Amino acid sequence: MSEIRVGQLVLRDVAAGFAFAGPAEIDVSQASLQALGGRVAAEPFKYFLNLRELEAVLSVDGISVAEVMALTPDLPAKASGQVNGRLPIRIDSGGLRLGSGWLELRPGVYAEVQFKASGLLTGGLAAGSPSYAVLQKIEAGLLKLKLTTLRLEVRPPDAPAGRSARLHLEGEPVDREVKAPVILDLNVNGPIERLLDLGLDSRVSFSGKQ
Amino acid sequence: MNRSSVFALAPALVLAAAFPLLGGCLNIKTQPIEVKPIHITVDVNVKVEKALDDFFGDLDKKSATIAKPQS
Repeated sequence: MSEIRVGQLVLRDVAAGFAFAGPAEIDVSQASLQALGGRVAAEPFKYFLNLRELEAVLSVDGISVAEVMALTPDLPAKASGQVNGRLPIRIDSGGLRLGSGWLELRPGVYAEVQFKASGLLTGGLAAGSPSYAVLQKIEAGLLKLKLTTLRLEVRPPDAPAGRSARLHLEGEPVDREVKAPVILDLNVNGPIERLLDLGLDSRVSFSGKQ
Repeated sequence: MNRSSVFALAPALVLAAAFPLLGGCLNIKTQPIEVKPIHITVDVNVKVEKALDDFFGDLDKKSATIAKPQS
């Protein structure tokens, strides 16, 4: 199958191998597709026709960070790079739900982030502190950060109740004349799925605080 | 122009003559701006309609691992 559109997602080169294991059970031995600039493959799973729900574990290879971020409207940052990872998913009448998994930077692929979020880094600093001016330029997007680490943990086992994801970023300004290492941990409280605008649901809003 | 005024202008004339030579040798070094590493933690709170909240809340109460349906 060459292309399927699911909301905002465009799925290409969809391929699957399956067999009927019973009147209402399908064993999917392999499934893969191209999406978000990378490749997604599912580990073998069963699909029950009478339950109208699907559970699978996805292996992600080389997905574009920019395309993933584009799924979240009004995100105060732009980024480039690619991620690999492993994510369990469940799709049923309630929509998509992500299980415990992770995404992280693909080694060897350049990645950077440009914020547009006033107060994100300087919120807790005195205006006269030595780092204030540099951090202000970073959060205003005047200085981009070259990312050395990006890891998204979805539903980490050690997370407190209600926390669905933790994004860990480490980077330095692209400008080599500015040495300002930044480590950013972003905790998502509430269902992370609601931040992904797949074009299926618009009943969502989010707010942030340090 | 008398002799004393020529001597008075001599330093200025020497500087003027040397300026083009100096210009070719200007070398300005800048020190990199260094800031101590900063660690920021930000909480993003996702708000959803109550019906959706209830749905995900119920799921969150279940096991963290996804249970396989009974065949």
